[in-house]
Amino acid sequence: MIKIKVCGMRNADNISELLKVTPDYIGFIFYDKSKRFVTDFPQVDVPSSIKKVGVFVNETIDEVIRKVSEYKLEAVQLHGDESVDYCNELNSKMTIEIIKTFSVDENFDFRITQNYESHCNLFLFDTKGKEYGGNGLKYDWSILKKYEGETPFLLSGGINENDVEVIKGFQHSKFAGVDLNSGFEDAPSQKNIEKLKEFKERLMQSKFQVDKDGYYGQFGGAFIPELLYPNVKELEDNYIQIIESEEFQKEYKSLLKDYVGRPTPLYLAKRLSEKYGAHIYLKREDLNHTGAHKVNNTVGQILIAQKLGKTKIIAETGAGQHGVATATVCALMGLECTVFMGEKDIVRQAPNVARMKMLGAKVVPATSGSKTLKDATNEAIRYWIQHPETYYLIGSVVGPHPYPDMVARLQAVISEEMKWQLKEKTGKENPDTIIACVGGGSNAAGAFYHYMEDEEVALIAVEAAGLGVDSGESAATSQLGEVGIIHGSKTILMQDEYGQIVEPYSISAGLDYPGVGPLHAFLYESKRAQFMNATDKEALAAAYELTKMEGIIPALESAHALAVLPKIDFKKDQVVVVNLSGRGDKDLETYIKHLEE
Amino acid sequence: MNSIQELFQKKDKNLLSIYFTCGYPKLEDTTKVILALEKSRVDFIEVGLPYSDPLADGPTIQESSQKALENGINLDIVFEQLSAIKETNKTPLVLMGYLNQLLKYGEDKFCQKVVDCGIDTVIIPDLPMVEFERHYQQLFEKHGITNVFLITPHTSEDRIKKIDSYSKAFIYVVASASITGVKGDISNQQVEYFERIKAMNLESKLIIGFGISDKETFTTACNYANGAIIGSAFIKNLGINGVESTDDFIKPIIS
Repeated sequence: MIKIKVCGMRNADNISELLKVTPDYIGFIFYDKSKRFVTDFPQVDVPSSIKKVGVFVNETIDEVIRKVSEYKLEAVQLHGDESVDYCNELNSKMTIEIIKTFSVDENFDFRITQNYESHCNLFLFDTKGKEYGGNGLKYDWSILKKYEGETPFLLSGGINENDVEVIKGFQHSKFAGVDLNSGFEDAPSQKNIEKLKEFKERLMQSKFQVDKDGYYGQFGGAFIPELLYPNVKELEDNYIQIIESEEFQKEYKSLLKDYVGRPTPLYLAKRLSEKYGAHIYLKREDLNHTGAHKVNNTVGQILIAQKLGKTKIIAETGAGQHGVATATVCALMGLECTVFMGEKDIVRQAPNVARMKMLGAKVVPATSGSKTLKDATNEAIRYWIQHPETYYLIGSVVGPHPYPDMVARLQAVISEEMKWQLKEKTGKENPDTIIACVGGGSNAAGAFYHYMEDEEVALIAVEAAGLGVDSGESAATSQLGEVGIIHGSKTILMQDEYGQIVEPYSISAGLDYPGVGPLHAFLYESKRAQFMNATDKEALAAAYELTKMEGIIPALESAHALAVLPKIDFKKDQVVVVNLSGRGDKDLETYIKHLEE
Repeated sequence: MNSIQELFQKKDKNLLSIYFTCGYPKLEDTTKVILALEKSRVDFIEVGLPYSDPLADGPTIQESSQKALENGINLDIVFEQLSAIKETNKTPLVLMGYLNQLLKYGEDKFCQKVVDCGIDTVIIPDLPMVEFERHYQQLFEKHGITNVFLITPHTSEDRIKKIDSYSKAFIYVVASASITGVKGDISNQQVEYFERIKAMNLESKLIIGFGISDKETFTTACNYANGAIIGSAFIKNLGINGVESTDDFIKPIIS
């Protein structure tokens, strides 16, 4: 976590406001030549989690000690030519955190810092200026590569809101944080709190989380007709607050436990492990109520819909798993449910259609285009436009912001459990590799979620190649797609040279989608995840193999994830988790048909 | 000056605009339809670029788009067709398409071609205001293109005012919470909404669209706006009776 020190504070009201930004340090300058010199110490209750720092320039030790005790400072910053002996003496006279500033330029000899190490807690590397104190000029941070000491350091020198990306990209093992001052001022000492707040948010933001505009890098956003704006805005304004509320968390967790049957087991598939020469664990999402991971999301979203006061729910479905999971939670909550499903999928996933109907949902066939998931989603969106009072319960990490982020957060329970389950079984939270299939990508988003920052964990996303990536009958979006907009989101998309969306193909109705969620587009583009694919045939073979070797019939979708096992060269003792996203009951007809072939 | 703005200077009441899909019912009908509409003295024409996944459109326009794509229409052909009648056609044209078409074709190339066809106004229903501000405003200004925004019964007053400030041609007033092609009378609720917008005394001219299908709905809409757009009803007629029937369709509406 990058620490933030806001320096040069003086005004009590401004400090009270600053506390809301929760910096790590607040600096007070006790140097009479500074424009931010503190004469009357502001009376503000600063919580102990935020350290008050006195900044001194060549001050007498007695005076430093007097100010520290009078103003109850937790740290001192020595900004002048204080010697090693000076620091040593200060240390011997009182227990206090010492920050020593060094003015640095390309000629700076970092060996000077060595003798200070044992007397100081933190260094602050500042622009070399004619006057003492930050003079608002940025220096070339690359010269800090020469610093090889052990003491962590803060960066300083004219940092402003435009430096977020540079700071995030700055690599040094001892880099601890930033010192902010003039770059955030409306007038000397008077800080612009909004700017600081936004700066901190952007700085703390993981690159694998959506930014404030709903983007992962260049992917995401909300490309929606004006008619949908109020609905999407309402959700955007409320979803994080709802999800993070204690009330929601309590209800959500209790439903996941008692209704869905979580935690789902993490099962070491022994015979599969033997065959492929690795420790292969299956995350058993197939054992969830309704037979797939989809219900994690629908349980969460139905609670959100209720908190927003919605009583009518619509959903799209491909394989029917999300449709069933939505119809299920609607039955549970007594809400009206309409599910849009491609005409072609209604035929190939008949058992799920029957289940939805039995659960009381209305199933509306989508008859346009390829008559599959893409068209079901189009129809759901059209219906939503015409019925803005309904809540659209999207089933994957697709659609306009905030859906991709919201669904990823609700599926994150998969990797949350994986962490402690792996710790129990292997002694380590992190596996070496996680494998998950990707259509829109919700089960993969859930399985990757808590591991995205840990670059040591290899993430493998498996797309459906259909009859083969180059056969013209495929759904391997990352291989065949280009940047485009589908269902309100900028992502990677299968399209022709004029931007017309190409109809995908896969034996699996859940992977038969011409796009991927924007998070996955970003994981692909940034190379954080490796994208592989499996054909219909390979997926079928993998399904038969799992059935015969482990006694588990997987969903066709999940079988695609299993199908890359023979393609990977595993190291002995490699810990691999395959997210078994769903069970194969719904695919029995297909399995039986191909078994006879 | 923007071509639609210029038109408003000459006439600002009862303007009739017709939407049609390029390459429908036959590939080469694009220019025929435009010239027939000009002959029938339609005030301006919305030229629809067929798209595979038109989210804001109802079944009629979807099907016409599908048919046009099957006929082999694409953006290059559309631009060729439109440049061919650039000199003969005097009726202002407004291009309507989805953002992905522009994105994939190349933003600058798309804008250049639009301008080359003598068109300076576009409607992109899935281009939200925030993305317009972020990027497209600058792009369009560079090419001298004006973007038309849609407002709906649920658009807030603040947002309408902002849209007003961005609008240089007209504001597209979506008649109800619906996709295109929903037919029926104009309800009291809609009238209330039209009156509310009218009472805001916006700078921009207002054109009502979605659900306008005949003389009656057209006349009602014109009481609250500078004009109205008919789309699906025209396309339906085109599908059944062909381009030749254009005048028979238009005449009763403007008579």
